[in-house]
Amino acid sequence: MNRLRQSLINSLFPALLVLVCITVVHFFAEPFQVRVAYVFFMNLTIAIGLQIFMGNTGIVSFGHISFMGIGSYAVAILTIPLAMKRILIPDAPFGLAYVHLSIFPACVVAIAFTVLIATLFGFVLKRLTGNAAEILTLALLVITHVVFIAWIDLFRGPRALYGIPIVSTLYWAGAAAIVAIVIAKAFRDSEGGLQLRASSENLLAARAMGVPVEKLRFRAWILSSGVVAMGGILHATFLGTVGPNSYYFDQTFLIMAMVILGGMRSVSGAIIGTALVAAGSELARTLENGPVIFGEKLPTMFGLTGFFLGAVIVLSMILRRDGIMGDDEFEDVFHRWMRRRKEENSGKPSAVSTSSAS
Amino acid sequence: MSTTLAPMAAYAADDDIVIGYAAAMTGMYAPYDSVDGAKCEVDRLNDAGGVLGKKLRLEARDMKSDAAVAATAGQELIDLKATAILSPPSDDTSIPIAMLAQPLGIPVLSVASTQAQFPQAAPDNGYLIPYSDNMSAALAAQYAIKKGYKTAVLMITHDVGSYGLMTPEYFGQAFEKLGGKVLKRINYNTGLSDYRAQLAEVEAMNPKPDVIFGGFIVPDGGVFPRQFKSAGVTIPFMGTDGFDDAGILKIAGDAADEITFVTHGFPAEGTTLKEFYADCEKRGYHMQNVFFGLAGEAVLVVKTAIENAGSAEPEKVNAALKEIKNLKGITTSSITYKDRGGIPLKEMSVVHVVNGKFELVESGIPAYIPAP
Repeated sequence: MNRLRQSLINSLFPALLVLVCITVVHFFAEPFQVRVAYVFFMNLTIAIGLQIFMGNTGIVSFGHISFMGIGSYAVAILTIPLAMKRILIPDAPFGLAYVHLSIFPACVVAIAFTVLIATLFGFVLKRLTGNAAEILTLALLVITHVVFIAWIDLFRGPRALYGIPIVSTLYWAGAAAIVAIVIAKAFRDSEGGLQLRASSENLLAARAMGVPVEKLRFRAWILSSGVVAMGGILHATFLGTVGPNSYYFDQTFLIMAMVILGGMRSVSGAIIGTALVAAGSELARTLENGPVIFGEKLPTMFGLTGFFLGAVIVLSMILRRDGIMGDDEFEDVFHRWMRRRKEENSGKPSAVSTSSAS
Repeated sequence: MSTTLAPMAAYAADDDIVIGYAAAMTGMYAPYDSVDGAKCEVDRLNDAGGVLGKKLRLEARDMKSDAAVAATAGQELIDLKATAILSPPSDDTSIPIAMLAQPLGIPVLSVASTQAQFPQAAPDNGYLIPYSDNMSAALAAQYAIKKGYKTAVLMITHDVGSYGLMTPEYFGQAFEKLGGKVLKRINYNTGLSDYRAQLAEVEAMNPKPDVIFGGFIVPDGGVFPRQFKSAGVTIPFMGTDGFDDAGILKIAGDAADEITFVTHGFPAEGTTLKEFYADCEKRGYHMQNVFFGLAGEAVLVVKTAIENAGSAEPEKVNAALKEIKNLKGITTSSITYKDRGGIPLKEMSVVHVVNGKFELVESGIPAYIPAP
């Protein structure tokens, strides 16, 4: 209980960051910048969802974006008005062509359904480690994509499903990001989270100490699938349309770049990575268009964003392989800084005297 | 909410007529969008005096082949007070832009999508610039019947969206309606270098089909005829604009002469398309493929609507667009939007290969068009 309270306190700072960001955007941003901020919070939610699994188990997952897709499609199929569904997917199985839920029950069902799929898949995944597990997550991504494309009666195949009520706003996205942060922090600080990270460092030693690796891995997988599904719902209810290509390799690598850049073992790292990549790609996107800066017209340079993403990953791999934050959270950095200050303060007189003497 | 960009937007509204283009400059849809083509047409129109005494200005934003970025780019273009927005080549990226633009009545035109889904999803303000796949497939079927083909095999792939999936089905519907018979549907995967499995399946057929139709693209549109011919099976291959790429000729080699396809237009001597290409190259633009012409055509359609409306107000332009009839385009000699629900009725070109070169067979509009 004490530990939970501590994680809640530790979540305050990142949550505050999110709130400040929302406030600034609310008062100062252009409509298109509001959308940029929204996409940032959506990606933040997904990145943190991915971090819950990757950061604690040490297994790289290529499969989480499929949870985003399942969440999106589930909420789409449940909320598209019946009249429209009769045109889009008249032959939907399980009577889904005649089911319509309002948005909140639909979100709950979508998350529950995603978690159910994750549970089924998790029975296999929890037994695997290392490369085998990673390949399995990749298989999950490809299988989900193929099901979206080939199950035409239900998902309309490669064509988009549209007509989803556009109800999500920046504030919902911010709220989702905060919920994701709290969940990720609480899991990271929990006994299970610590044990799981220990098992990713040395599996045999952790097992020998009695760490229930499979059980914990399963728990991380389920939790993260729910959080990523939340991100998927944000995607569907903001754009009003879903298509299979939004939930495939492009999105996977974008989110991975965010998590790896920040440091996948830390929730704060995921936040910083997401912020840097989002800010960098937005800056690159502006530069691409050849803006006028100080009266100087820059040339248009399309593809700069891709170059930027690549450069960021290469540089962070060379300079900081554990990501910007490594194992640290914001509070760790803060405490270290406080400690150093205290040490400096206590050792100050001598330091001052020596410097003045010389 | 803020004023930082407002002076710029006001300046644009006073001076120029803005056409937005949320283009796929990078990512998987990049080959199908052409900012250069749109830019070139804007230059040409401005050199000829602009529209309503004002100059046109193209504002292009990269949507990176991603639905969420497309919506952001769309919002940015709306903030820039675009009169009309040209949109990317897929329905899931164009629909969000159209939904954002709809309350303001801004027309959204997909430069390269041949799928009827987009205007169906956005009936108020969504348009295609190209024909839709059901029309091109119908013209291909009509031509196949005219050539005396009685039986067909449909090659079907799930890999390239509804292009590889639905286009053959449209062909099949029109072909059977006109008296032909579809013998078989064969699945394949795009991008392979070996189609012996499909070849074996056709070889085992008795009788063999008169024609094979598919939503072929580069490279499989070249690999198929080549492999069939080298096995001694000479059956004509038909498709639509996926064949319209010079790369196909190199890949297919000798077997290229088996290829016939329907496309947006053909730059034959004396055509508007040929003249457009020549003029744009002179202006320093680099022509990549037929989508260069379609992007120019999109600008021309918007300009015509502005002229007919007598105003650059989006709502009036949108209304005028719906009335366009028999407009002489860039890729084609006739474009009609009136009563077409956003999908233009266009004259299309039937092209075949003779001695390793594309040649125009005929142009036309099919009599029977299957429902999209």
